[in-house]
Amino acid sequence: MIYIRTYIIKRLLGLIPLVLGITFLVFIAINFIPGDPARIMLGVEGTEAMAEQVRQEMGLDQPLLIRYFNWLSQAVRGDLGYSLLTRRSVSYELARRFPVTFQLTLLGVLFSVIIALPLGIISAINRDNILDFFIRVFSLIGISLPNFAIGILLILFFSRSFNWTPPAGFVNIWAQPTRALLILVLPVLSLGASLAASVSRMTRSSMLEVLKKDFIRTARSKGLKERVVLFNHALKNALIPVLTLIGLQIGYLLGGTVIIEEVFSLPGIGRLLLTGIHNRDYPVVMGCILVIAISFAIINTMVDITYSFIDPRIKYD
Amino acid sequence: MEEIAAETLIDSSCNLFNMGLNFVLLDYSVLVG
Repeated sequence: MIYIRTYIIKRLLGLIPLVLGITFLVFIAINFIPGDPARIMLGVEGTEAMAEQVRQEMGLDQPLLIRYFNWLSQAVRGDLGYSLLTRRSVSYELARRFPVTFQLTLLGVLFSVIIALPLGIISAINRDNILDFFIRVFSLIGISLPNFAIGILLILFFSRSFNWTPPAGFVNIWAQPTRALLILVLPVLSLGASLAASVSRMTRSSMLEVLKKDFIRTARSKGLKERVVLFNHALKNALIPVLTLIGLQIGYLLGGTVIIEEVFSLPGIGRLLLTGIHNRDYPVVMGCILVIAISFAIINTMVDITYSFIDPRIKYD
Repeated sequence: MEEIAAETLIDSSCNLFNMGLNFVLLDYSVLVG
């Protein structure tokens, strides 16, 4: 247990250079895209003199590095600044929108794992027969289609064929669970499809690999029931590469929410990031990136810790 | 290991296809209008 604690502390310390690197790169990138926040704020009627004044007020006339360090010194004190456009606190906006993205990602992961693990196992048990073939074809489609395309197809399919449209507007899942889940069905399906596809493929190949091992033959020969062999002996060993994949893919899922939230008009961090980029609103963009990067790192640390529960041979030192 | 290696190869090619489609449908349409 003591090892795990030092390991977590080490990983959290490793977060510092990571976040510094990411925020610096993003800061440079957002400042290199053509477009001026002062001009966007003033609209078409603004003159050059007015734009210059706005730039001075917002500190946009200072050199890039100084602006980055100003942002950083505020951010470490917990102040992420104010949106250049709406003048609202970035921390407030993030806190308001984080639950939406969190729910979407969490439900996406849950959906894919619940669907993909059984499919992968069924596919492995029925290797090379018709069922395996169908599952593999569906997973290949899931991997090959971008999630926003799946989203648009789902909207078309559900509203054209079934005349079913999810209720508009986002509600808190704790306040109105049924309504919130109904709103999230299509976004979660389109977000989770690619993860489900890759997890089911990985489960299949990993299970096939394990089922060939000697200890499985031993387990079978000592007369264990097939169910026990599959779930207690094979699946537990097959889960390690699957878990790595899920951990890595959650990061992509967080990135995928940017487009999915836009397609389904959900008020999450992804959409905030997109409008931030459109308006060259760098405090907003930096805040969103910070939250996404930290969540990604924390999730990966959590995945690494769960390894030791699945496979006690894995030690942290 | 061959099983996982073969699957990873197929996965990577599908991912490439996905990225290509992403580019054509999203980035290209945004860039060209």
